[in-house]
Amino acid sequence: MMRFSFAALMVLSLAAGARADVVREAIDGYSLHTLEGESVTLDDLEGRTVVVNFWAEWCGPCRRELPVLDAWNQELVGRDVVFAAISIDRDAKKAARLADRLDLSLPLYHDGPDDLAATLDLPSLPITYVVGPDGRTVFTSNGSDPETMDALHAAIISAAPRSASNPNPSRGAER
Amino acid sequence: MIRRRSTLLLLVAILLGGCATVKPYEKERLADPIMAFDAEAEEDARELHWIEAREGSTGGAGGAGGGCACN
Repeated sequence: MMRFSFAALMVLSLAAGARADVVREAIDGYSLHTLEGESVTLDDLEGRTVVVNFWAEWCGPCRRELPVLDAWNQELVGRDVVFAAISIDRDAKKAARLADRLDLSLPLYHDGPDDLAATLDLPSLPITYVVGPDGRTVFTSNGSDPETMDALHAAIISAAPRSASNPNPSRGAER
Repeated sequence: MIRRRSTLLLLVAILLGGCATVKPYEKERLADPIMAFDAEAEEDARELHWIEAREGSTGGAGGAGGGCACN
């Protein structure tokens, strides 16, 4: 029984590891659009912590989560962390309207429901992946309840080292 | 008898074919307020109250509770 549990644990760990690589591989060099429709590529991520959030205008918990992520993006100025909040709305205009209403300065992108979301087969919405500097996903948060957000914040802080030379490379990103 | 059973099986197969799992990222259309049964809950409650007053049929359209008279 114990041997079986250990084997099951190993399989789960391997599955988690595989998932981690899938996220980094999927986003590295991936072409997205800003909410204004300009094409951008997620590159220069090597050695940096990346917080990838998937959201939609029609998703209530996402609307609660976005302002929190926006505040963190400003709070974590001194850390080498890149935020990418990717809308999976079919219509980018809906996402842009929500972004305007919430007055977000977070780097926001649009990708729709059929590409990255389908590739990663997102198990929930909102979902946020924290990809560490080594390219492994160190934390995944599902939902936006306070406990989840606290754990997500702690994971970002722990994954993102302080950057002395480049205070916040993500500042001023597209929107 | 066999034909009846085959027809039944075919019917079940057709009905089951209509079932689909919707992924969380594909729920945009389902999340549209127009898909809600009670998209205008306040208006529905007002209308129900008006019907009940007119018909003298309180509870006729379904009511909460299990008959304990505590609601």
